[in-house]
Amino acid sequence: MQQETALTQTVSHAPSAAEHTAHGAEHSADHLKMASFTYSIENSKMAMWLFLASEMFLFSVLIIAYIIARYAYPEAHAQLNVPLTSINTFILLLSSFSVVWALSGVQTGNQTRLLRGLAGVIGLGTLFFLLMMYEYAEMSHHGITLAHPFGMAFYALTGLHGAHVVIGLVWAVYVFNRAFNGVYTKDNYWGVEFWGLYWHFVDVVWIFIFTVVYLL
Amino acid sequence: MADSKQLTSGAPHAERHSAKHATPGTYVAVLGALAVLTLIELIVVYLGLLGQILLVLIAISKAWLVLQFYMHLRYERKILTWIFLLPAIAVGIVTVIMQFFVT
Repeated sequence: MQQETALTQTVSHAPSAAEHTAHGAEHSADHLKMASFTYSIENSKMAMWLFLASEMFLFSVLIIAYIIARYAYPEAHAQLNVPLTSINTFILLLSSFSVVWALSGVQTGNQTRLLRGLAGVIGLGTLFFLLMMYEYAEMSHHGITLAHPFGMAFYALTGLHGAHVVIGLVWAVYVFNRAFNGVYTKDNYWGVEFWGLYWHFVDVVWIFIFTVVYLL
Repeated sequence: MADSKQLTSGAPHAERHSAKHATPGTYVAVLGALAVLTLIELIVVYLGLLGQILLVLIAISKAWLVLQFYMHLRYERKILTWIFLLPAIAVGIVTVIMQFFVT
């Protein structure tokens, strides 16, 4: 049933090229408008993935810089708070689940689940950021500041990720506001889906940061 | 709905792919798998087991689960997977090469 609903969401706006040929100019105006809507979503989705792929290069450069600093300053690496970051990792994983929970809500017309899911992401994302700030304060207390070579590599990488979290949170508040005003329906939810892709990417990057920075 | 079904049969292949979604049960199962894999990572670190290669493999598995099920790559056109996967492989190769210079 869910798939059927989802099919309706996509295809009700998506007459194929073959149909256009068959029906000729009879419905051309409406069909072209609907097809344009669908193809713009498909194109936007591809653009989003291209953007995410480009982001990967940005993060990889900083990860490599961190690896160099980590081996040069093992004593600074020993100061990292792994238990706290492990809790933060679970928080971010849970926020990703909250995103798909919200998305599945809007796909089935369940507005309450959509709003709860979005609120969950905003709450968990904020908690993640606050714990990260606490960790930064703790690191500074141990003398690992931006002036320290290890600190420079550490803060550049985790700070860039934190900036992505903040952008994702601002975007989440925007999406929540639109959801609260009933903009998203089971036939129109691409705004939630696109923001979700961004948030999941932030989660994927964190999965590698957690392993490379804290565990290795 | 009849109109929708009619359109479905004629919809382009790519659109039929993007129309599928994971179920809420799948989302819960993936969350459970991610949590278990993270716990295994922590156990590996604190017990000092096999070490680096295992940790990297677990991280790749976790990322793959998020990409496949939460980001719906499994249900999308394959081109989107390749758009993400090819740069990821390139980045992975460069990172591994760098390891030889820093250790």
